[in-house]
Amino acid sequence: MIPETPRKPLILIAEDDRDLGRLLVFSLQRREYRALLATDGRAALNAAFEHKPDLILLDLMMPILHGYEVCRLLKSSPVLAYIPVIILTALVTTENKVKGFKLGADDYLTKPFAMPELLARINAILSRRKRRNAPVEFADL
Amino acid sequence: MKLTLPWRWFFGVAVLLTALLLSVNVCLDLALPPFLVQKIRTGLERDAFITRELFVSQLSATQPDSEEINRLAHALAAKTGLRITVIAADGTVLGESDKPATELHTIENHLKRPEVQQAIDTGVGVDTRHSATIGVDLMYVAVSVKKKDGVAGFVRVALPLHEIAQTSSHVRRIVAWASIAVGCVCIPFVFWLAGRTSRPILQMCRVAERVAHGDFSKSVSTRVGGELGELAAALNDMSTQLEARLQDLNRERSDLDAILGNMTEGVLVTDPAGRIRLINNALRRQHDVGDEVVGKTVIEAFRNAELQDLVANVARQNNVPPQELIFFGPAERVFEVNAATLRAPDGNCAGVVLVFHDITRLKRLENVRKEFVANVSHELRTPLSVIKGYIEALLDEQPPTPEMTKQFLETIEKNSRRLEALINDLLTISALESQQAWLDFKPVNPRAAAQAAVEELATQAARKSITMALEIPPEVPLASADGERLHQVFLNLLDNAIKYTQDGGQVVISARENAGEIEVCVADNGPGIGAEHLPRIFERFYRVDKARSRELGGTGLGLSIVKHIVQAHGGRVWAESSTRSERGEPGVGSRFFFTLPRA
Repeated sequence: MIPETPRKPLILIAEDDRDLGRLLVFSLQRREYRALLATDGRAALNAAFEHKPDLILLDLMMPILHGYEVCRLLKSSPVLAYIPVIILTALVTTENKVKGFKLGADDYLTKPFAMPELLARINAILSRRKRRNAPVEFADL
Repeated sequence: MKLTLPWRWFFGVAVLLTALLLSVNVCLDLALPPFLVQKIRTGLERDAFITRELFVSQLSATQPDSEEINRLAHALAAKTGLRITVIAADGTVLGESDKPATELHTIENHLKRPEVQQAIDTGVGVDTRHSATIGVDLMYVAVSVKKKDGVAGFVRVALPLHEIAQTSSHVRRIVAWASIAVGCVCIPFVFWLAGRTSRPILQMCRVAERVAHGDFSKSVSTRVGGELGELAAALNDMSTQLEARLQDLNRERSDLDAILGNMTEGVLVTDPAGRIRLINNALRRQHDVGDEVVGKTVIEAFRNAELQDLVANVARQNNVPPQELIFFGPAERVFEVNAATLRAPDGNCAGVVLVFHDITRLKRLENVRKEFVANVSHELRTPLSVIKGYIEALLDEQPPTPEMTKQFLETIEKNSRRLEALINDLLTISALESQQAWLDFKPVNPRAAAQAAVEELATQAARKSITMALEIPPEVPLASADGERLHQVFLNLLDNAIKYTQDGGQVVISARENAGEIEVCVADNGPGIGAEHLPRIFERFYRVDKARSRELGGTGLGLSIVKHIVQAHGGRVWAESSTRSERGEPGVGSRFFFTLPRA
C-alpha cells in the first residue's frame, strides 16, 4: 500500500491471479487511487475489516473462500455492508451474474474487460457515493 | 314350508279344480233338474198318450166300468211304475192306481185339478205338486179323451220327482268322484311337471352362483326344451363369455403388472382423495418404501411438500409440465416427476398418476459438466484478460517506463504460453473423451518410453537438481500401447514430480509385471499429497494448491489426461502418498501407478 494523503480512495483488490492483480494495482495507482491486493478470500475479508476500503474489486474463483461467500459475508456485516463491491470475474453466465447481484454486489464485470471501462465504473460508483454523502444544497429552481 | 314352485302350482291347480268342481256343481244344480224335469215331462206326456189309448174305449162308453178301469189302472201301474189316474168328464175318479179299489169312492173330485183344467183347454195338462197322499213331489200329465161333442174323460199319469233329486245327486256324486280321481292323478302330475320346471331353474341358480364366485367349470344341461332350454343355453353362453372376458382381463392385468413391475421408472397412483392407491417395484426401490404407504396421502408417505403441491396442481389443471424434485434422505436424490390426472368415464378426476425418473446421476453429470465449463471458461478468460490488460496498459497515453514495459511484455508472453498449454490440453482431453482419439496399439518397451520422457525433461530436472532414475528390469515384457500417448503419460507424471518436489529431490520410475499387466510407478520424495485430496487429483482442474499450480505453469488437466489415456488402454491409474503431518516425518512423497496390458 502506497501511503498517500487519506483523501485518496482506497480500493481493495481480491484477485488470486498475481499477474492480473499486479496490473490492477498498477492501473489504479496511476489513476490516483490507493490499492490493496489480497490473493485469497480470507485475506480479502481480513483486509476489508482492517482497512475499510472505499471500494472492493472482487474476483470469484479464489482459493480458501469463494468470492460469493466473501460477498455474502461483506454484505451481511453491519460494519462492512456499506462498502460498494464490484465483482470482476471470468464466470460469465446469466446465472452467475444474477447470483452476484442477489448477494449484494453493486456491479458485475466479466473478464476479459477493458481497463478504461473498469475505471469508469469505479469512478461512477465512488462519485455517486460522494454525492449521496454530500450536504443537500437549496437553490432556486 | 317354503313356497316353492311345485307347491305353488299345486295350490293353483287345487284352487282351479275346486273352482271347476264348484262351478260344475252349480251348473248341474241349475241346469240338470229342469232338464230332467223336461225329460220326465216329455216321457210322461208320451206315457200319457199311450196310456190314454188303453182307456179310450172304456171312457167313450156310455157307462164307463169304474171297476174295470181301476183294475186296468192298477195292472198298468204295476207294470210301468207310473201312477195312473182315470178321470171322468165330470171329474170323478174312475181309476186310481195308488189307492186300493175299496177306497176309490173316497177320492175327491179331480175336475179342478190344474192339469185337468189345462187338458180341457188344450188336450194336455201338466202340473207339478206336492202330493199330500204320498208325501213327494209329483208331476202330473193329464190328457183328455175326446168324444164327439166334448170330453169323454181324462187319463192322467204321474211320476214322483224324487228321481230328479236322486239323479242330480247321483250325477253330482259321479262328478265329485271323477274330480277326485282326476285330482289324484293330477297332483303327482303337477308336482312332476313343476319339478321339471323348477329343477332346471334351480340348477341354473346354482351354476349362476358358482359363476358369480368365479367358478366357470359347471354348465347347465340344455336337455329341457322350450324357453327354459333357451335360458339354459343363454346362461351357458354368458358363462363362457364371462370366463373369456375374465381371462382377457387377467391377461391384461398381468401384462400391466409385468410392465409396472419391470420398468425402471417409479409409478405411483393416487385415488381422487389424494391417497396412494398403487405403487410399483421401482418406486419401492427408489424411495425404500413398502406397502405401508398404500392408503396414506402423498405428504404422509414422502414428507415432500413440493410433491404434494404437484399432486394438488395436476388434479386441478389436468396437465402440468414435468418437475424436478429433490428428495432428502440418507443421500440426496433428484427425480424428474411427470404427473397426469386419470379421468373417470364421467369426466371426474379418478386420481393422479406420477412417474418418477431418477435423474440424480444425470444431474450430477450435468453439474460436473457445468462446473467443467465454468472452469474452462475461467481458465481461458483469465490469461486472456491479463494479456489484454497489459497490452492496454502498454498502449496507454501514459506509457510505462522501459523496465515496466519489459516486465509487461514478459507477463504477456507467459500468459500466452499458458493459454497455449491450456488450449492444447483441452483439445487433448476433448479428443480422448469423445473417443475420437485414435489409439495406435503396438508393442512398446516401457523402459524405452520412460527413457525418452526422462531425456525430454532433463533440463527442467537439472534446474532443480532433481535426479531421475529408471528402475525397470529387462525382463519386464512389452506393453500394448500407443507410443505417442504413452509418452504423454510419462511426460505429465514426470513433469508433476519435478514441479512438486523440492530441490535436490529424487524421482524414480519403476515397472514390473503383475497378473498379466505391466504396472508402472513414478515415485518422488516430495511433500506428498494429503489423503483428502488423493481421490480427487485425477479430476479435471482439481488442484491441491491452485495458486502454486498456476505459478508452476500447470493447466490443471495433466493428471486427467493421464487417467484418460491409461483407461483408454484398458488400464487403471491410482496414487499413493503420505504427507509429513500423517507420518510425523519428512514427507515420503507420492507414488503414481498405472497399468498397461501386455503386448
